[in-house]
Amino acid sequence: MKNPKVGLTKTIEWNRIMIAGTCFLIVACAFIIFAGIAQGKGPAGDISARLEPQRITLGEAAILAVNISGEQTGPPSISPVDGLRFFPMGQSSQYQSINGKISSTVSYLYQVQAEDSGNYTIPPVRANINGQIKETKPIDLRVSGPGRSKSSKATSLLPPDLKVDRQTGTSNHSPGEENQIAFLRVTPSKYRSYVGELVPIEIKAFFRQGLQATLNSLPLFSNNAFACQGLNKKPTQTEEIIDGVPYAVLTWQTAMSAVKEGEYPLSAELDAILIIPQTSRRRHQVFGSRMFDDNFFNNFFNTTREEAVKLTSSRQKMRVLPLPKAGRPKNFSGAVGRFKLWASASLKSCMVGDPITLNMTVKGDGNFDRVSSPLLTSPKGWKTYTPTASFKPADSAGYKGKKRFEQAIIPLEASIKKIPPVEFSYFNTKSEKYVTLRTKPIKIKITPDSIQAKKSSSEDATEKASLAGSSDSSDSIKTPSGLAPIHVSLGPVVNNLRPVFANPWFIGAQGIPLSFLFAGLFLGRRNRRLSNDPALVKKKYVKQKVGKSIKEMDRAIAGHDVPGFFNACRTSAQERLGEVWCQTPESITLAEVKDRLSKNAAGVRYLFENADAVAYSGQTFSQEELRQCRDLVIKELKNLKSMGGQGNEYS
Amino acid sequence: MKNVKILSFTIIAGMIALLSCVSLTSASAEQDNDQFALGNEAYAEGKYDKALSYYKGVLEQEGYSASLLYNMANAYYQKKDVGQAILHYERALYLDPGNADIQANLGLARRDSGLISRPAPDWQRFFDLLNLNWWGILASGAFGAFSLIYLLRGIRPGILKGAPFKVLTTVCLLCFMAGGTGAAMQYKNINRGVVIKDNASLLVSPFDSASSSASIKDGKIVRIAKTYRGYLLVEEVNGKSGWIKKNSVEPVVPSGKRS
Repeated sequence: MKNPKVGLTKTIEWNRIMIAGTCFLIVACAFIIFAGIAQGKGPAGDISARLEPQRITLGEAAILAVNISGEQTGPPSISPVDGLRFFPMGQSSQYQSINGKISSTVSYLYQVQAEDSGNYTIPPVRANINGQIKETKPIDLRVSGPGRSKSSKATSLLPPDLKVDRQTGTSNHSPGEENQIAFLRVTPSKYRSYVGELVPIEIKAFFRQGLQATLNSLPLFSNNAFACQGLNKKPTQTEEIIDGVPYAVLTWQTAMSAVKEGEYPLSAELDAILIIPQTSRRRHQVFGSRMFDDNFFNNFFNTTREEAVKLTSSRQKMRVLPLPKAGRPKNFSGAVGRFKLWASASLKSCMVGDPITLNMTVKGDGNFDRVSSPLLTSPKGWKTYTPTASFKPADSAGYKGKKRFEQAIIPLEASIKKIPPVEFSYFNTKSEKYVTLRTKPIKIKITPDSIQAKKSSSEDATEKASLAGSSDSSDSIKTPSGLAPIHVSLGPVVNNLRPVFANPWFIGAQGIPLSFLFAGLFLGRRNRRLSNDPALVKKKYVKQKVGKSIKEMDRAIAGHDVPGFFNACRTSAQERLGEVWCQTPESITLAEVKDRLSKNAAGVRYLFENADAVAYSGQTFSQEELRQCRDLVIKELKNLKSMGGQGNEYS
Repeated sequence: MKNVKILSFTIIAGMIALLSCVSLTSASAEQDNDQFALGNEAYAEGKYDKALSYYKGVLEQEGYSASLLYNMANAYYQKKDVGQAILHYERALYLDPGNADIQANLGLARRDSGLISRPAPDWQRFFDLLNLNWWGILASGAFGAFSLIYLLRGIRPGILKGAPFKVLTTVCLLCFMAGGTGAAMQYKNINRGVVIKDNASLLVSPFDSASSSASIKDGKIVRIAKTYRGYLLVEEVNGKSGWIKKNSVEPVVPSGKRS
């Protein structure tokens, strides 16, 4: 059985949901209508223009950004200005919703270039916004004299995805390029050249931005009348805007030369695979606005397809002239261009037979592969060798650079005063004439004793060999070339040429002296430490003093100097007793000796008594007695030594 | 009695073994000297290839000697093989730096082939008096003597003192410094090589396809800086450097097999 209350509650809940849903729909419709009104009749719309920088140097570009808010019916119009050129670079849109108010801003970017320096005023830029013509304020542009182009300044206003490394001034499509997503351009520096002349050439492959491309080949000339070099190098990658369309550009800066005379079409080809983004969603005008024209939406719904293409540049006529036969120098090697020549010598004075390095440098622009070594104008009296060459290019195409030649030359006569000039001939493309460059002769001082020295050294060597008792008759081996003779004895032989200190045993053997050194240093240090010990120092001092006293005793005995003898005896005993008793030696007297020494030291007492007797009463002793006394002293000193616990002998 | 007999027998056997060893060695040396003499004979007859084959035999069996290398260099020079001639002169000079014959012939070979060599300054010539090994031995000996003096002084402080000690230690130090400097001066030449192929290409990178930056004459001295596969990075005296094929350059001091 159904409960009527439950059914009523369900009905009420359902009604509430329906009412809430209806309210939501009404609010949503109101919002959309309001938004539409707001967009259509909201802000009246505005236009502003900004130029950065407002000061440029001739050759640079400024960016003019025109910002338009509101519904405009077309791009802004810029009145032409004498001396100024405006190149459209593209546009970007921005939509904002603030407190329910939706506003759109479209920015138009123009590159502004000046044809001459001076002060310019860009007149007001006009646009039709919401049916009304609005205009900006005039903007001043100051263009100073020619300077270095700084495209980074010019690109500062560009959106982040439109950053370019380099822009060309002539940003226009050539015929046939307008609707291409990729194309190739070949731009030679000139359209008239000579056979063999190296002509700088720029090959550019343009790929519309957003495309991905894989190159299957390097650019190749479709005509075999031309040869190109340096194409294997990596091309530079830049971005350029042509007629407002951004392109990724690969550029090969290289040089080409014509191999035969005549008029030939110049064209290049390049195989590539393009990955082309495809829009899977058609653009629609449901909301009557350009909201979905924005890049974000395009990229979001895009897919890609691959397409193999052969890019071919437009054909340009190149006229190739033959090199004139008239006036062609004998030493002309095919060098065409513009060159300069320098020469220098490694020595300013030498002996006959000494080699001199002749350094020759050819610098300039042209076909360096055909630049051969300059030649000595008069090689008489000189022995010359094949020169070595090295080329240092100054550009990627190898068109400009410096080619250095090193030639060894040997003077054969002492009468030579100068190194003769060197000559180099080429065809000058500017003057269209053959030119022969000639250096100045280089002064040199040549002394004649080289051959003499050589002869004498050979003779000495021969003599030496004959003195050595050669059974091999070394002097017969001597050659006219002046070589010293061969050696007849083998001499000491080594197993290998490796240095001795590369052998492990040698390195190991160094440990022996090293250990000696450390041991010596250790012992020396120990000795120094011991020598600074006061007890040891005292002992050493006493030993010296006693030794000295004994020598004096001997001297006194020899001279029969009784007072001197006993004085020395007493001194030695005092020193020894002072050491034993740790007392000042001079303070030790007979009384103290009697008092402190036992009967065993009778000799010392006898010594002190006799010394006093000699000193005060003039008692005398024979030499024999003195000798006996000396022996007694030495004996007593030995006894005292044992008292002190130290052992030293005196004799 | 029995022990005396055994001892006598051992001594006699040992002496016989020693004598046979000595005689074998001297026989081998004699044989090498014969080969060397044969090489010299062939050289005198102008048969340089034959002379070289004899010399190479001596080199393989016995080893390097300054005279052997010098004679080989002469033979190469007579064959107009400047690269090999200069290489062998350089090796001979390495063993006997002060030898006037080697210096003269090397200079002649260089001059005749247009290779410039600046004369070494006088102070540098002093260090050419001995070869690397002898400078090393001098330094080591001086160090040994110095250490011995210190050891003796440590053991007996009074044994060496005053002027004799000062003179001896000064002499030792001077010899050590001279030996060390001489060894260093000679050692800097250890990585030298001689170009043995004429007009060898100096490449910008160690690959066959690499472009050539310059050509280099045979007989030129280069410093070998690096090895990569079959290529050597070499540097000329004038600072020019590049990669060159290994078989175009021979090191003055070979590290491996005798050649």
